[in-house]
Amino acid sequence: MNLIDQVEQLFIQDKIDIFLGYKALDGHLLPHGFTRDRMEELKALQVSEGRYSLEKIATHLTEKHPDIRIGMIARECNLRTLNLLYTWKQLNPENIETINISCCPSPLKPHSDCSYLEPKQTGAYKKTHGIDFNADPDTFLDDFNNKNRFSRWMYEFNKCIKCYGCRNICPVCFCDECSLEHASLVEPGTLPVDVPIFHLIRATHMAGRCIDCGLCEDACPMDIPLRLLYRQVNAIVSDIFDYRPGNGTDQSPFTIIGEKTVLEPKPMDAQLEGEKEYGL
Amino acid sequence: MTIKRIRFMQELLTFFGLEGRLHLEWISSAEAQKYVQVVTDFTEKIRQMGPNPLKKIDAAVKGAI
Amino acid sequence: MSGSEGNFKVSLVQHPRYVDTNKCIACGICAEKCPKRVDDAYNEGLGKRKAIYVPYSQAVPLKYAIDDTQCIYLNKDRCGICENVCPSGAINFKDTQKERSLHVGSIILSTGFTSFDPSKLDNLGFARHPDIVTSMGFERMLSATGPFGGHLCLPSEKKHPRHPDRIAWLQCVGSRDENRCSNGYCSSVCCMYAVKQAVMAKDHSQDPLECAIFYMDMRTQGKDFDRYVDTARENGVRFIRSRVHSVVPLMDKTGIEMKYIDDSGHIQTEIFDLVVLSTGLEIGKSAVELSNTMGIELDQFNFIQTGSFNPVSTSVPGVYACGVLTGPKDIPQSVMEASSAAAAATENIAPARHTKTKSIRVPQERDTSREFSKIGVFVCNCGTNIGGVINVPEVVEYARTLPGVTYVEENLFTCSQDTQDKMARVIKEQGLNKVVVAACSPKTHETLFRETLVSAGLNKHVFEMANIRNHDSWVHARTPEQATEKAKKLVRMAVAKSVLLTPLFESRLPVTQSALVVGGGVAGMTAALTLARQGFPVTLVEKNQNLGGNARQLNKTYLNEDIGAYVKQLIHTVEKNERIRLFAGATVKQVDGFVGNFDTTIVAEGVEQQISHGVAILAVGARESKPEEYLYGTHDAVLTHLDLDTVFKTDENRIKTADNIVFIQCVGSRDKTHPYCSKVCCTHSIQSAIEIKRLNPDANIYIIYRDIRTYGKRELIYKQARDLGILFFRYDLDNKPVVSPNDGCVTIEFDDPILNRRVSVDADILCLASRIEARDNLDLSRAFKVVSDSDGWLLEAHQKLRPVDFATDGVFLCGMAHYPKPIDESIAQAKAAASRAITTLAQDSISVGGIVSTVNPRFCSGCGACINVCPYGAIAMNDEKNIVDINSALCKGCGACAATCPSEALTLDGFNNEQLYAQIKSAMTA
Repeated sequence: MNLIDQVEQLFIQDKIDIFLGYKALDGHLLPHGFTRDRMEELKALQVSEGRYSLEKIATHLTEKHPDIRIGMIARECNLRTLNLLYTWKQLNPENIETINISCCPSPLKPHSDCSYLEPKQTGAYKKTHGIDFNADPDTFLDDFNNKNRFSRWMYEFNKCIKCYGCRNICPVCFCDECSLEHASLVEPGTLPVDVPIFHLIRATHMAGRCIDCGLCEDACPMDIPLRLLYRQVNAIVSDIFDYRPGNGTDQSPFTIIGEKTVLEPKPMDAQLEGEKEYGL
Repeated sequence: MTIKRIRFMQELLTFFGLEGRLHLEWISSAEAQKYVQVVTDFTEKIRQMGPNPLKKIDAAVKGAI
Repeated sequence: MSGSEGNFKVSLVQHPRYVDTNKCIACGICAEKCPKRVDDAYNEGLGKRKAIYVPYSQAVPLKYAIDDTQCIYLNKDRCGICENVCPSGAINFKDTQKERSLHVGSIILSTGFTSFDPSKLDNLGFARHPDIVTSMGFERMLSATGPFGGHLCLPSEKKHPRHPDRIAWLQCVGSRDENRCSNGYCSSVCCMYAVKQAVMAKDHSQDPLECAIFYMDMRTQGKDFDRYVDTARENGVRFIRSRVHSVVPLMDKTGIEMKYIDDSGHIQTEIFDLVVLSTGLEIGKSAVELSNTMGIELDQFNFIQTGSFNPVSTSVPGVYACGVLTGPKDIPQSVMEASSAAAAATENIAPARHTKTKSIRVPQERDTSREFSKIGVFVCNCGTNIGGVINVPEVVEYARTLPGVTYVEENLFTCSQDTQDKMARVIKEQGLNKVVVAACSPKTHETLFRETLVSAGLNKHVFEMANIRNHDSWVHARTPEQATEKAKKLVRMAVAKSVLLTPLFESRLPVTQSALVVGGGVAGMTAALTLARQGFPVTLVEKNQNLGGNARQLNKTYLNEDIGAYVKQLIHTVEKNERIRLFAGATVKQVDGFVGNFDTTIVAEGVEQQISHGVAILAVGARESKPEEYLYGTHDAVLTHLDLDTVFKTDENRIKTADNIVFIQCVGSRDKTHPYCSKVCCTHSIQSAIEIKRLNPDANIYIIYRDIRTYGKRELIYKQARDLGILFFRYDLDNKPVVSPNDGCVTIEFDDPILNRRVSVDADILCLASRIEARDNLDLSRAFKVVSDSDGWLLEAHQKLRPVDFATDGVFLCGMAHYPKPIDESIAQAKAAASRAITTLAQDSISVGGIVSTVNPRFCSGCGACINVCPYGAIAMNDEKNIVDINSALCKGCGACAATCPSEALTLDGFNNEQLYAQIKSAMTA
């Protein structure tokens, strides 16, 4: 059964009130909500090669209409997001129907989990002064020393124009009140942004939440390698908390009761090299 | 939980190139000597590592404007 | 002491301390200047202290005292330096012994124990070599406040500190020993503390440290103890089953030589750097004298004689005892007995409750909500404690320049009564609406200052302290200028926060002064009866049709007391008590509400009942597991303990005619899947074996065990059993006995490690000491918002210090639902749970609010992250609004939720984000 028939069936069986997919407009595929009232529109339903966070639309719809039943196109990354949003009680799994689309028909491309995405090209200057999009967190740690890592991140962060694109596109950013807009943490109306506080806040808030869809990096107009950053966040969370966000609907790893850890506080005397001089 | 959270922050700061500038130690209210020792050691360690590189950036940015 | 229960006259002697506790500010100048150095008894003589001293750093009250056996002035009429240097004039050499007379209804004795002195044992070398220490001494060596500042050093090398490489612990020094001393009992706690010390020593040591524990039986029968031992073993602590006969310091000072016989019977020699003697617990002379003065019966070891059914009552009515005074025991059991003694001691004088309570009158609180900040700053000199280092006038001048500050004052002692009176006056005269005190620690003084605010008509929460003593003048005494700068910063931070302080309000919620007890076993009934006798109505819910629980099947205690008769009497008393409402055949279905105001639905015989109660006690017990090995259930000769107890009662002939009877210990306990000890079985087996010998002296009895855990005075029946010719054989987990059917008998084959041969016995009765297992408490723990550990035992708030409380307020636990335990411990815990419950029930209302978390419903996105981090179950999802609700009656103000919330929807009042950011910002700006 093709995609359009499947959606039609969902409407006929009265399983959903709205279906979130993509529709072409002036040659661009844009997210669109298909409804029973306008079934004829379904003909235009397509799978986009570009991606948009349909779950975010679903979250907003649910906030307004808690009982609305939503159908949507779901790739691997969408499914991880949905799991996470179920975990954090932002969506009710009983109200969501997905039509799953395998987006990895070809072998994985080096950069991305998603075969629709072409690996990004990193320019020569960025490679020498900044951070390669296609770097892997472990090799990044191995290749550069503390000082070098610092200067490379600062190069990237200082480009930030505080457009909030990363947050706005993020499918798991659902807070009504965002710490990035707290005047006492991030001074409003000034540029450059408070480095690295802005990115550090976002990175810590991604702990236990980021499902590695890469939309933030796609959205960033300044080409900051955000996916690499949050991949490392995920790696640390997985190491320390043994938790992989979106990988099922397990509760968050943050608890106090009954918590027993074999982890010891890090000793202080970790020797560091090349500490004295930080370059800019 | 504190150990885990601080460990997370330490690893993240390491990734950012700010390794060794965050430390966690368990000290009870009865362990004054240990407290003094830890604070002294940490102060000394930070002194050896040099000033906070972020301050330099802050100054540079302010200078630019 | 004179008089009798309910009407005692007691005269007390208070020895002079030569320091006025009202004046002493614990600044320590006296001890610094005192010329007389003496051995510090608290540090087991390993360190020194002065003749004027605080016994130990957490002493309450934290006030100095003069040791009159050592003080030069008191003995030779010279010196008197402390009097000259004391900034508050607290020294009083003319202090005299005071006699006080008290009129009381009950008396509780809790004078504790002394550690066995091993210097009488010449074979162990104690006091002949500094590197042979007692366990108490080693405990001090590990402590950060101890003689070596928490560094693991050899006491013999004071000048050039050297770390030990090999440490040995010798167990049972002064315990389980009737030859070299007369302590035939087991001290109960030494195995566990030795393992703890070994683990901690390894922890303290930077270099690899070898730890070896020489023991007879590893008696780690407490909750989670065996797990701890397993972890220690995995981390390299060696356990050697051998009693060391001699400890010899080598002449060439290269170490201490120990000779012992290993498992295979060979003599081994090892050299250690440090030897720790795990000394037992015994009762000191003065405690014995006290008991004798009061006419209290003691046992052969000078412990106060108590019974299993009245574990805290002495032979004198109205006089109660708790702790090691009645027998060796660990911290949790001592804490339980303490609460238990409090309940027992107030049972007969309950009507007197609150008759001597006085209440204070406070003025109307001033509404400051429309005023600008008018902050008053009080900077304390603390005598010379602060003023001697920090330039206080400079700090005062600086404080005047801070925004919002309208009044600044310098005090010699801000905490003194006259300054407090003046502060209250100033607040009123100057119209202050916020107060900052720059002095010492809020831990000791915040309450006092808050009271002053209240007496001046301010809310007690518009107060902030800057600790310029402990955090500043004390630690930076050598750099006074920098210390002054730091003091300014600390004051600036406190002022920055105080600008944002708002009044916080507390309200009173009425308490339903009745209790619900779940479980009608011995523990549940004891708890119910204790509460009822204290005057509180109790609802007792029992799942079965009959009260009594496991105890109905038990035979006798190890002290030979008849359990059946006791339980029968107890049931009768409970049923007769008019304050106890009994629901048999009933279960808890749903629990709403919180401490002071629970609403519980119970189902009794299909009918739902609504019960309002203020507290709940969970005493749901545990059960004997049915073994799946050793032919249990397939051969009639194989029984469990409860089966055998039934045979005692119904079929004595079967015992009288049996030739061979075998007991196998640890059936299903202490293995991989159930790594805990069931605690009661060793005693139970031995008790049963002795009983069999009484009925059938010719029977051959074999007990096959792993460690015999007859802790405390239970050791006596172990000895009695051996005297009676009962045979004991040890086995290992990887070499378990093998049981096969043999007509009416079963054949048990096992290895005897002493003969080093395989042995077989044809037994008429094989009794299996099967594991005690937790019941399925999932629904109950969900309903009451309490948790179980991985073995299924209900998890208390703190294993040592709050053994009968749950983290959730108003719910308490006792009996075997907590962990397997013998009847005397169950009863003690039940009374303790009742005692803890009374602390809530005795109030007609509880205070709610103050420093608690609040939720901003506009910011909350209902993710529920905070619910899991709350240790007190105070946060719940409001399904209607899809946001969380905080129950301020349960909130303790820890702030974990506020730190977790990603959108800052939760704030901890009094420590909200704006206040903390303001403090940080103020600290960071130059």
